[in-house]
Amino acid sequence: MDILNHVAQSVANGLLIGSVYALISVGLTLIFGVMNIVNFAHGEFLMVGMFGAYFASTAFGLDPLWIAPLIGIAGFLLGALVERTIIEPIIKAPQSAQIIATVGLGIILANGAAAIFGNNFLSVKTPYQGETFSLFGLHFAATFVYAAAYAVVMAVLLALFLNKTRFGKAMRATAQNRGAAQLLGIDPKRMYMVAFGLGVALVTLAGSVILPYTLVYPFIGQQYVLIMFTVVVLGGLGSIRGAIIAGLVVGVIQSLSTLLLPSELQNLPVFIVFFIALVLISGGVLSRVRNASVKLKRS
Amino acid sequence: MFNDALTTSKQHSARRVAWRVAAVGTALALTLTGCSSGGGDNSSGNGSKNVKVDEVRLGTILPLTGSTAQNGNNSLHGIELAVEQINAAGGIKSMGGAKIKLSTADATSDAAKAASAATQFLSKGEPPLAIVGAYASGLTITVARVTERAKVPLLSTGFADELTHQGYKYFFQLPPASSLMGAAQFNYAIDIAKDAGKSIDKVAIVYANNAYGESQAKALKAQADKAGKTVVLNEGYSPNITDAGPIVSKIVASKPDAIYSIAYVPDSVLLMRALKAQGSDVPIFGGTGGYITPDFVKALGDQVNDVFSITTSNPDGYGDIGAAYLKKYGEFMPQEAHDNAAAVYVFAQALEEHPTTDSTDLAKYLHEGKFDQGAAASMPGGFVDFDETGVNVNAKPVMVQWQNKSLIGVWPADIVKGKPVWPGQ
Repeated sequence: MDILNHVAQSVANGLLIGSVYALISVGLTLIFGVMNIVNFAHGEFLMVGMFGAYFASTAFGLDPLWIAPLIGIAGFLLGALVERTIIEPIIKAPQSAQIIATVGLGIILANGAAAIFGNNFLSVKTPYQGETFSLFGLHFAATFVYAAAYAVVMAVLLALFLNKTRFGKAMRATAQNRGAAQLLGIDPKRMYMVAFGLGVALVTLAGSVILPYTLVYPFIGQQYVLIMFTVVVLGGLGSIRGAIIAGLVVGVIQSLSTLLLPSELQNLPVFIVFFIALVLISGGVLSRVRNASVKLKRS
Repeated sequence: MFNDALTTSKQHSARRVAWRVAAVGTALALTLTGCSSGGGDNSSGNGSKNVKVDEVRLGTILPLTGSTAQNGNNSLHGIELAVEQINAAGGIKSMGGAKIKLSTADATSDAAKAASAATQFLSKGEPPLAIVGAYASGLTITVARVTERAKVPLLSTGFADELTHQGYKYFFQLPPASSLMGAAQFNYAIDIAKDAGKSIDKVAIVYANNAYGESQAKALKAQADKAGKTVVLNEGYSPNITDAGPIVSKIVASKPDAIYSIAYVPDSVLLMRALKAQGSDVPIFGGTGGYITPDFVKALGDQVNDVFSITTSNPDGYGDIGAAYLKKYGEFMPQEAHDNAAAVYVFAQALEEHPTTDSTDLAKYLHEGKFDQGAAASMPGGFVDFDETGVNVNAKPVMVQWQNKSLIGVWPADIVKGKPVWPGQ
């Protein structure tokens, strides 16, 4: 019984942290899916969101959870601006040029933050930081529950946007076939700007949402970047549903592995799964399922 | 929920791209930790052998970027303050009032880069007479190899035991070594418990798995075995964790009487928050690092009260330089700032008593003298005294405790003024 309880608690913790992983990664996969560009500065945009939330919340005395939507909007504008000034000129450039551009952007953001804010560890204090919810004998830290709730809401909103709105459909059309979409009157440049803006909005909002349980410093993006890429590649590059599922899977594997393995090896099983997925399954776990369903529709 | 049609046009290249992204992403994560920004070095052509000089050059190599950047910057503040104070008081009087000229290099938080930063620093222009650095033990190990080869004294606040086991002639360690710190962290805690009428039988040891964490944890484990205590958990974790939940679950499940933790700022804050969330009220004995920093109290507020930590010098005994630091930087003087300032005072006093512009000559005198000026006087025992291996034989660990959000020295009673408070009493 005790062991069962431990396993259940670990799965629950894994799902909570996993939904956060999904939220921080989904923008990366969205940008790739629409634009075919890998944004290596994604971790640094998370850091920018965290700093934004920190300063906004200390200046106005508001909880980062309340500020998150505003940070998301600011993140959207920042993303759109970055797309127009940095990404647009290299959208047709060789992939190596795109990598250098986004990697360089990440370095500039991190070191810029260090130069402006200093190398300090900053964090906010919220009344629920020490609180826990109990359900069926399991315990959930309030900060993680709120972050996970945000992740679920954002996933639903993103799904509604992509599937139900004209703009979302146009964005998917651009992703599928830029030329055909353009012939039908969709402006791909506008789509790219919005897609990049949305990707950055999602990750900056995530930064605000996770701030209550962690702390921010200029180089924190690097702590998350490996998880982001694992989630995105495991889920299949460009697949939003894949990133969400992979986020949860990574969270649960990490959490369960600590039951058996020392904490320092918590990423080992994740990377073993990651490696197997890369070797065995082309383009991520979900592509098999997707290929099957595509065939099904055509027949 | 999702139609997921974003990638259908890219099926063919998906595997290739996936591999490439995975490779670049991994490489990035591995190599970009702490991008060097280089230190500002000025070379002045002052090669005179005359002991009456205008300035003496002191170098410092510290992690100014990356994961331990904050400790590096705190250290730099302490060093700058000590240099300012010494220069304002007339410099090195025996050398014609020579002023200390400080130059700084960024070691980043990466050991390999630290060594190359040190090499560059020493090969560029006229080398400094001595170097203070490099805060973290992992960095100091690689920097010490370079300074030893260059025959430049390295005054260090790194704890690692192996630093003084290399037969180095140009290495000087101001604080007690890790093994002493670990032993004191363990034994002082037992003594404090006994003093409060409590007993510690089952202990949990959790540590960041870097050079500093591992060597101190090893010392804790050895001490626990020697004292016949049960180690119910002995767990390392990556210093880059973003969530301490799983480790704290293990701590809580192991039901210890005391938690010994070796952590830097981010992981110490994550651990504390997760412990609170899981309702733990087990006494915590930190092993310096994050537990004694201004950021620790800024992040956690009242939650820091009752938390203990072992440290290298008594923070409520820093005197003038402590007050000057508070005035200048608006926060209390952290341990690393103080101990690095002490290193500068040792350097200045050595030159004062033994004027020289030769690094080897200076190293020789550092082994011989006793140093009790400025911040060196607020090291435990009141002075710094190096033996032939570079160990400060006078160094003695101090246990501090957060009381009303201030760090108070509480143990051992013969070198501190404060009294320990057992958590929950």
